[in-house]
Amino acid sequence: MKKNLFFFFGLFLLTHCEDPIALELNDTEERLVVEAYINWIKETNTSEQEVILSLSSPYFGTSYKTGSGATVTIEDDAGQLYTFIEEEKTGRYLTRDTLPYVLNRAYTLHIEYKGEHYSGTESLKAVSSLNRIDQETIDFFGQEAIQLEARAVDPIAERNFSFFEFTSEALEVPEYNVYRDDFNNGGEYYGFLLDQNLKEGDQVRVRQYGLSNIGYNYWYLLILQNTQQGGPFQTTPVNLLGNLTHESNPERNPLGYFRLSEVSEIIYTIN
Amino acid sequence: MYLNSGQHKNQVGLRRNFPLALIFIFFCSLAFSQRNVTLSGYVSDLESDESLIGVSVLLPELNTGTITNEYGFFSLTLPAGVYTVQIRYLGFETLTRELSLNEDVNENFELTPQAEVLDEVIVEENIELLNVRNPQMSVNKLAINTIKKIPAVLGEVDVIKSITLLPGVTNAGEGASGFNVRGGAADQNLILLDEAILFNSSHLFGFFSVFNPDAIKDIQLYKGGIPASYGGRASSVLNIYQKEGNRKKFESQGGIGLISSRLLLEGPLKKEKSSFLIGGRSSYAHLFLPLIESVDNNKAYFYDLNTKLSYTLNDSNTIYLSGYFGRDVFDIDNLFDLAYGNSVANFRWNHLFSNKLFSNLSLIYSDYDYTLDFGLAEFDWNLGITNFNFKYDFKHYLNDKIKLEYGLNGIYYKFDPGFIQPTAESSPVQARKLENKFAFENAVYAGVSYQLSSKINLQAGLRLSNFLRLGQKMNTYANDNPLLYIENSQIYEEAQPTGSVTYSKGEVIKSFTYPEPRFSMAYQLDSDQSFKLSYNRMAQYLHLISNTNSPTPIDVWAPSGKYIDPQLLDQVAVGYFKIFDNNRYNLEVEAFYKTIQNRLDYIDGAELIANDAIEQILLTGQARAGGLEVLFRKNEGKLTGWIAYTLSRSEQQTPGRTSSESGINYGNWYATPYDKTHDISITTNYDLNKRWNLNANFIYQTGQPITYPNAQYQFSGFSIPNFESRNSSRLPAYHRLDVSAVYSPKKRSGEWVFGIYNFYNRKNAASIRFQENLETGRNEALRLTIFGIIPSITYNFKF
Repeated sequence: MKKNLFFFFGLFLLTHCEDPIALELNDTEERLVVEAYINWIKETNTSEQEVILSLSSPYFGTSYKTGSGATVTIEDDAGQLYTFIEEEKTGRYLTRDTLPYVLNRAYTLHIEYKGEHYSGTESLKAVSSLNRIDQETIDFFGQEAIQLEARAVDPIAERNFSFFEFTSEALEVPEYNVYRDDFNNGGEYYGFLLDQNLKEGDQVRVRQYGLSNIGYNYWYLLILQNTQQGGPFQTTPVNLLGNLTHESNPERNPLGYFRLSEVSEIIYTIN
Repeated sequence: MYLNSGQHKNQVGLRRNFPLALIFIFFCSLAFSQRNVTLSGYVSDLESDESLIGVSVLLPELNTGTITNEYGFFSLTLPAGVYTVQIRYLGFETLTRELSLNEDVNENFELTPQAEVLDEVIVEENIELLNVRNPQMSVNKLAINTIKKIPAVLGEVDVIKSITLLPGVTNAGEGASGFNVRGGAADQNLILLDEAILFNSSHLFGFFSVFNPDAIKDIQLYKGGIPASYGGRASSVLNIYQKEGNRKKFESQGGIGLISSRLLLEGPLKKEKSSFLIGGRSSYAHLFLPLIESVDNNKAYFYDLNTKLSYTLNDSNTIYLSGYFGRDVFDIDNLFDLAYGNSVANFRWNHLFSNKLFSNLSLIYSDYDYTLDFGLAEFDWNLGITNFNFKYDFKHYLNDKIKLEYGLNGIYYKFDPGFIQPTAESSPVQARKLENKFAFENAVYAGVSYQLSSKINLQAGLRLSNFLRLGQKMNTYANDNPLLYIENSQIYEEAQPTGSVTYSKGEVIKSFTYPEPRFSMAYQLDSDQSFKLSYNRMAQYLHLISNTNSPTPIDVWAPSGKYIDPQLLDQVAVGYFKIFDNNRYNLEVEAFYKTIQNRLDYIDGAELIANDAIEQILLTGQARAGGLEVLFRKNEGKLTGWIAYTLSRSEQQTPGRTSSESGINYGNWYATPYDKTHDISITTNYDLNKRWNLNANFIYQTGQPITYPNAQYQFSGFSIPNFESRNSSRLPAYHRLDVSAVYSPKKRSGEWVFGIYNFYNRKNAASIRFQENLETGRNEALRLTIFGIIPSITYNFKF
């Protein structure tokens, strides 16, 4: 919802004009990037468990390096280790043994890369099930657009955080919303997609991922800074600080996040 | 007595009578005993009876004088005698009168506006004698006629943009709301419209100001050396004085422009006793939007209304009633509706207790509110600030060397951070009322202007201010700590409230009291040049929290309280002033340095919208700024204008609360978002002939600070930039040239103003954002330009 606010303010400024400009930047040395996720999908009882390592690159660069040859393990709070094996120098590490579906259990990810040690801790966060998808056609700035509302009910007991993801071949890029239950504890809420390119028959995969409070902070900024339309009301950009750290030097903390989520999914076909 | 002494002399001389000689000596000694008399009164415009502010009332024979106050009143105490009194005010013909002052004289003066094509001279501090010796420094005055001449974007005369042409004043970016004075933040300016506080000075997100130029008489900006009578904001005081209305005849004036039009009516209700003024302005560009299909359901417009009534009961009492109402409305295609604005109602009573004691009582109601109806997300958000203000100010003109100013002030605030309510049954939002906040800000002050010697003039004062944060329901936190720090990931996180506590409405949650000393001094080197220095301390109890680089109307005003301390500023300034060739030219050079304690900044990624507990996202730090300002003006002749140059640095530091916390930018100093190293403004006005008047201004500024990315990485399908330290790079330099030509076909009926803004179409970067180009897959930097070259035509009329 907050994302939409900035989106609209940017859009309505019809008199502005944007053009690309050449700039010299002060690029830094490479840092390790970790995209680690354990997804347990409620409806199918299946899991996606992967750790992807890569390296950062200069901002205007066109290629990026993978993080190959690392040792990746996840340890649970009882000391049990799960080893991840790299798939053929791609930087993608997959687990031999599946991490079990136990909500709120804490896990620590350990990475040994080029002689340096990195780690981070997170727990598997629950999510409320998606009950249904409501579809509507809206007149958006003169064109017809399909609006989808993916509805769920918030459990009143805990503090809940999650994010919605809408992916489809018909969408140029996936759509994301974050959610926290502070305004709406115990009530019904929805994830939201509005797109002019969707047509009847298109298939959209709608997912809601459970997050911890820190995970919410990360995804909130991730979505705010990487999908807003801009305009004169720019927020001061801030670096995403994930939940992973370097053994001794905070300036070399890895970028990215280690997330464990329960996921609710619906594959929806546009009417 | 003097008239009689001559007769006595002759008689005594002839008679040689001893007793009579004694009587003569007695009378003579009485005559030479320096009895003081007071000359007081009002100075006004002959044609309209409008009181004139800052007029010089001079007695050259005594090498003394004074200036009229904000209501046109002056009072001068001097030895009895016959004197030539000179009343001088730029833009008007000098009035010279011989007055014999044997007893207190109450005399009102009326000045005639200058006959020739007026307005070519720029009104700044008035007249060399008093300008040079007056210890008041760091103040700039602009007459409304000057402001109306300055070429403006889309032909809309803008008071706020005009003051940015003065040294030490800049703004946060084109189209940004607010302005910055001497490296101070936009919330540190006290904006007063006829003594009422305004919270937002612009329409349409900063593109236009809320001030209708036809309703304004004078503006005055204090950048430093702020007298004890003002307080509440740290960096500046912008005083906007509205006209009272012509007391002699009915007049109307207005203008028709591309974006907006305005109309002002004024006149006497009872000739020479009372007057009224009513002016309105409205934009209408939105009426053309239906012609463009994709935006035909959109509306964006503003309007404002200025009203004033004044009534002089008798020589000692005048009453004013004024009001201002302004609004901005946006209605975007039923997706969202936004409306916001200021409303002010103001009652003032001028009372003369004696010919030496002038007083003004003000009772003011002011309300700033906005409503956001977010149709698409199905909720309404209403919020606002309401305040009631009581002020009683006294100006005591004790004698020709001492003038006192004292008074008191009380403001009661109600902050309403919002009420969220769903607008549709299916809306996921639950109705929720964010807690109202209440506060009472009050002050008492006393100041003296003292002529220490023929070369030294002093102004010293003390303001004692107090702020009471009053009861409401508030969160409680474990260890009273609303903001937690996660050491491993160096992240700040909102603390979960442990519960809440309710204070009753009158109960004081926290109280702050600060003495604010003020001091300034002028040392006159000779009749043409002086050296000045000043010091002021200001306490500011309200803070504007903004998560964007330039303030927007949805930024949140937060009062000090349990978790937020007031901002405290100390500023020192020194200056050198010189006039050349009888004030044909003048030069002002000032250097300043200021430090501010308790400057707030939000933690990274803070969510400001509808945030009930601001303390969970704020860190406290400090700020400092220093600079050099040079202003050179040409005041007379066909070509007039000024060159202003400011060299400055403004930065802040927000360290963590303990040594293990990272703070913002790792506790290092970083440039504030409005820091501009070089700022040059050249304003010129040329009287070609009786019909044509040409204007041009040129501005060059160092680009605003910006945070550039220094790396990119792939995560979850996004290509994400990583950024360098906050504000360590600069946008490209900002510069532009504006020109305008004013054509008056027949004097006093109308004029055409042709203008071109941004004459050479410089694409100034208002901001730069970085994103992945979806077509090429490469990252690019996109520059946002708001105004390219824009021609405009405005017709101004008067009848």
